[in-house]
Amino acid sequence: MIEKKNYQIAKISAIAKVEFLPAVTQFVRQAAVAAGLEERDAGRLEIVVEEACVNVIEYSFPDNKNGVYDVIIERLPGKILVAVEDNGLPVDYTKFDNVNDSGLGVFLMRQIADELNFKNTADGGKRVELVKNLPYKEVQEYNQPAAEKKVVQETQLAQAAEETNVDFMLPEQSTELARFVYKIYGSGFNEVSIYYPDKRREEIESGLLDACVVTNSKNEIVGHLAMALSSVDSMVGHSCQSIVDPRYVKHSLFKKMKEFMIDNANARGMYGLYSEVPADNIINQQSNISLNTHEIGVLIGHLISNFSRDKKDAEHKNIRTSSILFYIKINEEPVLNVYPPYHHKTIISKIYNKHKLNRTIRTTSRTNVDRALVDKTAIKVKIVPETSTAYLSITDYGLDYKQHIMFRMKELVHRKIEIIYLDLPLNNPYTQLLCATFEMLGFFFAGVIPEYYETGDVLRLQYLNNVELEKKKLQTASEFGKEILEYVLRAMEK
Amino acid sequence: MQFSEERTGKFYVLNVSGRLDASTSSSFEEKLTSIIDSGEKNILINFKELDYISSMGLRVLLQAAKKVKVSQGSISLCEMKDNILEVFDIAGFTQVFQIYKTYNDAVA
Repeated sequence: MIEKKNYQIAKISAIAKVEFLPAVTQFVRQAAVAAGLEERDAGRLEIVVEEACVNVIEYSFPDNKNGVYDVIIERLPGKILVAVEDNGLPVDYTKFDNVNDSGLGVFLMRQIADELNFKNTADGGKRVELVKNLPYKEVQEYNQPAAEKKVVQETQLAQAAEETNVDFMLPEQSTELARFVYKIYGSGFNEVSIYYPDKRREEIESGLLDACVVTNSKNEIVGHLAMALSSVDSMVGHSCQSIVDPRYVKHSLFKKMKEFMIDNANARGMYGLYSEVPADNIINQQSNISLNTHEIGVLIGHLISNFSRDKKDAEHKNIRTSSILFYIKINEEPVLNVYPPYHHKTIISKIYNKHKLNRTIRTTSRTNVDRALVDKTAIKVKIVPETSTAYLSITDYGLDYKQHIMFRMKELVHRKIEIIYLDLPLNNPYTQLLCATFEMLGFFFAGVIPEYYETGDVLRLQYLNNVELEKKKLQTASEFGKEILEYVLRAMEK
Repeated sequence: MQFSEERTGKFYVLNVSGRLDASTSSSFEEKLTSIIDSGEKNILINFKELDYISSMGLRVLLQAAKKVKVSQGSISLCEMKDNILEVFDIAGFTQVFQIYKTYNDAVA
């Protein structure tokens, strides 16, 4: 069992009055510098923290002279997070809806923060999270000869007899890994954290990422696979960042690494692993299926095929390619009640049966939705600007569910986010009733991810905003995959 | 935050020092409003001693710029530190105000 780390550096409770605000923001700035942020970034952080606090003072406690809010500073792997929490009036998100002078504060927050999350907490409060990334050096900046991207010729294929070895990646291998990725992909690997050795080292040390590497007879890294966890005691892991040196394509390295990761997840008592596999990589899909990993969905336009972290010119247009979602059940999980929407019940049942998941499909007796709902939708928003992707995760529905999602979509579309995922809790009876409303807004079925939330499975919907898809035909490696793909494509057309 | 004022050639100059944030923006607003109401049309704000600006400060500047525009006037800015200029850049305010690098450039 990995010990849970305490990330909190400080927590200030302040009375909601502007005269005390400079003391709060300057404290945050100094704490952030002490935690490793550069002066310049700490200055930016101070500005966004002020914006978040002003919003609380103006909108949460307009008439309450004794309102109190909290500012929490956390040092997370690779970043500083500042959360501003309050239990005041519900926020009217439409107030932040445009970039005129009254929406200026939120506009600045979006521009300056590396990540910005608005959450409604279960106890009726609100939490705004502002993140600044710590200044890690990229691998090219390290004082070593620059790694060069190489094209592997057929003649360079490694000898079939060469021995390779899979083992856990050590934090100190982070620099070598970044150089390996750079060699294979140049700066085109979609998950950019891998290029920052210090960040990767911290991710491993934090317990939120397990990784394995394959080394060859010269002890060079020739393969990599990671398992990311949303918390150290997550029951389901995200198998990701699969990379194989093309010289070793005939060594079944992916399969070896995946087996290693499955054993690792099993040893941790986890329920399963999910992963996204490029729809054009049939070999990888087949390897997954041979390990008893099966399809659970299709993410249209999930990856950027012409991705590059280098500066893009104004003409650059992302071209996207799709991924097949896979899941492997590793351990028996407790029986869960699920409420799939009526119109997706058949496909969802098939996915459950295929994976032999212990689920009882229920039908809700509730019909009058609005009367029973709480005021506010509990939602987490995560934006990944590098890949132009946003994740909206609803954990509970409130009366504002439709308005709230419309607001989010408008905001994300305005920011030119291309892919928006909307995750709905399948253990919540309202998912059965409300899913269609979201589909009317343009979302369509993507798949089911078992145990994705602490409370159980999610139904994932997807929305494409002005996406240019690669012309290549999507491929699946099994009949079941084909059935899901056709289902998703039909849902997309509607 | 502290102010001092002077008249130089075509400009009415307002020197601002300290922090322009949520707690000081109202006194900045009062100061600017009183200058505009007294009939000054060409105002130069010298930010040489300004250490910090947040959106509350930007908002006051924008309102003042709108107000003075009605009487065919304008607000110019000079001597901005890099961190201040960066906030103007991000907010798109460098398009709204005439910005001079130095005080001498402005009054030349």
